[in-house]
Amino acid sequence: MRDDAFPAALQGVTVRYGRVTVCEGVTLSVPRAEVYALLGRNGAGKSSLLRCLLGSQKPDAGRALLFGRDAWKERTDLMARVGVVPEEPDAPPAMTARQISDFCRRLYPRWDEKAVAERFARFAVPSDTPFARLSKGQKGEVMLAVALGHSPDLLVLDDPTLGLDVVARRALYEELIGELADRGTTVFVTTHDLAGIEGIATRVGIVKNGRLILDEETETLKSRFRRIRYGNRMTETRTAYGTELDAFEAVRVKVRGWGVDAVVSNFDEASFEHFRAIDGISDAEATAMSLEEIFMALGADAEAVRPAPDGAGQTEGAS
Amino acid sequence: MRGFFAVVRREIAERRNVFAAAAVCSVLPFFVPGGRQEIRLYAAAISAVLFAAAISLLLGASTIGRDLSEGRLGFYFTRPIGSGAIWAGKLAAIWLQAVLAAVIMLVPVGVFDFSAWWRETRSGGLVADVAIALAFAVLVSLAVGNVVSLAFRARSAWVAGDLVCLALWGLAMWFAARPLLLADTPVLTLRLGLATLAACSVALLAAGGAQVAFGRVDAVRGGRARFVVLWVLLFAIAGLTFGYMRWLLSPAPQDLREIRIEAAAPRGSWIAIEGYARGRVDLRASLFYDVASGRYVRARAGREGAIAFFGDGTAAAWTERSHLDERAPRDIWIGRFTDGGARRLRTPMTTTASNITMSPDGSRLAVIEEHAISVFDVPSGRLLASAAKDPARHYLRLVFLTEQTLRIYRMDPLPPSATVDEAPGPGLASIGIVDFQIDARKLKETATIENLRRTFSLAFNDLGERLIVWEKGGQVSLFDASTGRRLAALGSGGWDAGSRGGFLSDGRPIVAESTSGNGRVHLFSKQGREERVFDLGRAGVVRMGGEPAQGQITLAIEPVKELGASEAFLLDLNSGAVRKLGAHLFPIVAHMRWRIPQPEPGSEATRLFARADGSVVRLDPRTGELKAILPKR
Repeated sequence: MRDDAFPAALQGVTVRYGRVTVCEGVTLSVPRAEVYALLGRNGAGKSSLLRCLLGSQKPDAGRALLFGRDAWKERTDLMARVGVVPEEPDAPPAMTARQISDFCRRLYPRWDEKAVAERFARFAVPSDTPFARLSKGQKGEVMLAVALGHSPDLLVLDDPTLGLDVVARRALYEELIGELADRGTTVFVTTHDLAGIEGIATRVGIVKNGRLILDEETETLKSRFRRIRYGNRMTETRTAYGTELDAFEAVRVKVRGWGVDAVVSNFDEASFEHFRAIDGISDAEATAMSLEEIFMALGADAEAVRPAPDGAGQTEGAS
Repeated sequence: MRGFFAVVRREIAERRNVFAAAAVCSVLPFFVPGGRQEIRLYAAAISAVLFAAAISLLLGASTIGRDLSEGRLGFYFTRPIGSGAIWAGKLAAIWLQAVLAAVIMLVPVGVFDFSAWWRETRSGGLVADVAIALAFAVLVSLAVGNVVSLAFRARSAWVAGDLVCLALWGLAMWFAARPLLLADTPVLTLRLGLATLAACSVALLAAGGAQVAFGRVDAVRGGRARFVVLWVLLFAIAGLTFGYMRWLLSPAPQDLREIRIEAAAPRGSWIAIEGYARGRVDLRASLFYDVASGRYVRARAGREGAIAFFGDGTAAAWTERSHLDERAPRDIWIGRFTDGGARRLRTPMTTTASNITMSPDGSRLAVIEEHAISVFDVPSGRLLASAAKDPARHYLRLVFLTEQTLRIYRMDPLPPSATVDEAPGPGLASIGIVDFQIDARKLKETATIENLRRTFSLAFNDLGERLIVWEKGGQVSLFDASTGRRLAALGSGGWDAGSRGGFLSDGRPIVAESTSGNGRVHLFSKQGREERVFDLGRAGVVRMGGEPAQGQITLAIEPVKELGASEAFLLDLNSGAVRKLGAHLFPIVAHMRWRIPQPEPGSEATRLFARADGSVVRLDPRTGELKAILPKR
């Protein structure tokens, strides 16, 4: 694997807390200049995977790689190329935004103090107010500004929009889009804001019960998923239901009073035309699905079956 | 190092108000009542150390554990800073803050009372003492605060393991250290205590470091790493302490730097020795040593008070402290040299035994302690009888007349501070002779020797038949030790004139004296009739040694002009010949602390001599052969 071809990768990563397995055998790769969105419900294991990827937690099995190097063993060096926006802004409460920038300046050779100051100004963050007294949105903006301060090759965001209002969320995405446009930075993001990330993410992974159930380019994913609604009745030549969707991989099928509401994961026009021509099928229509709808259809919204472990470091329950 | 310094700088800046608090507290010593310079100085020093310790404890408890529990440690771990730099930077910042805060607290008084500072530092090493106290206080407080906080803030099941291990470790350390505490060695105990404290603090810090290095932001994994490192290190320290204690408390006779002869067996070749051993600071080793074979039996470190050999020389009895509580009962130990074993007799004695006496067959043992005289049955360890002592009287000696009768010699009255050898002040004393019927548990006054003028010294023969008393004014008298009847005057040259003496093994009194620089030895019959006088020529003080053979006695003679430099001589009581054995030799029989029972003629102890350098040699008077015994070089 080339050093920079896949800035972030997980290879069979398993994380356990005591007897509870939070993630099992998760393998994924984030190609350079891609925006990878890792989705999943609370407790699905996203934050644990993220901590492994950042070298803050050692996987019980498998390896987390940054730029092709072991994140646990070489964390110190690797962090010089990574910018991180944590789920909960974790800067020391007494530090001001300026002090945080000053602290980071000593650590990163490529630190661009001017750019950070400009971002603070753009976000309207008061530079001399202690971090603890900033609003939730401002804290997130400070963390983003700091994460981008050394022009990282990889930007890792852990649910960065959690608790942000619409304005702050938009500002964050605009900054992110600007950064992507300017430098082509690789981004790895976990989020619950599927609508917000949909326009940005080039690749999506979905974690359910600790397993990666989907890992695909966003466009491909969206092109193969469709919601098909149709009327369904018996005719003289049709004596049984249930075979009309055989040409598709139906992810979900619901029979309603007016007909059938199905989600298929291998949609193509030719098959759909053939489907429409089936005797007894009426008013069939296929509609494109949003990322959120696909997420729901896959059942990824189902409750995680494992309890969040006690004392599992940072807030596991809010991944 | 860039990360380390960044963390240090950040942590200090975060808590800079500590310095302001120190500055405010620095004026407090000026309000100490009295206002003397020295009082202010020490108040400032103590408050600075306490302040630094408190700061270290509080900040140590809040720095990493709190960051971890509040999820803020990730701020550092998502930067290019090594785990070690994060941990060390945070702790170094606290250490630096605590020390600087202490310095700030000391500055005002130091400037204001500079001359006193300088004086106390030159005379008492104040600066060094404060520096050491500060270093320890900060180290220990920081380590304890940090690890306790990490353990409890993790809220994991490891805390239960910590508590169990703490209890086990405490027990292990207690059992390891207890013998040393019993041995009453303040310097060694202090040094070891400080060393152990420092080692444990380092272990605690290492455990905290392991939590950060191996767990990083994962509290569960970190807690496991902390637990393993902490208890492996602490139990290793306990093991090392235990091993070191075993070594400390197991000195061989050859390890003794200088040897004090405590007692010698009346028969055979065993002697009781005591002394400071190499590498053991102020720990006094107490051993029984067989001069002939080189074998030895070690008394435990808590041995104290009297020692008594059994009549056959194959065993000895002594007392030991078995409890740290001074008022707790002492144990009597019987050490048998044949198999090296020792047996404990539990007693109700709450003070050290000033005298232990064995019955002739070794079946009974009597002790004088502060409050009572007690008799024990040796085979069963049972207390047979006990008689309360009269606190106004001084108890001198016990003699088993029979298995059932114990004779007690006591002196009455004496000033409270008096000892047998040095009874200060004017006045008269009397010696009471009391028989203790053991089975009947009755005391019976048998006789009294009255009107003794300021008694300086006494000598008993082994059977309790005779008693020599050196009185004030040079009167030396022989008494019947049963009836108290004065039998004879043995001389007029008193203790001050260098008169010394005792009994030969056959019970005959023998007294040496030096008058006008000439030494003489007077030999008497048992009734006190002078039989012979031996002229020693020019001599200062003459002391009696042992009898290397029947009819011979060794003497230690100090030259007139060189008191303290003893020369050894052999006096042949039959021919009157006096032969010099060597210079700077002192017969150990004259040197022993516990002289009863007296070594029999020809026993090894009669051929042993102490040297000025604390070593012991064996000199065969017949052949003149000299052999180093202890320490072997």
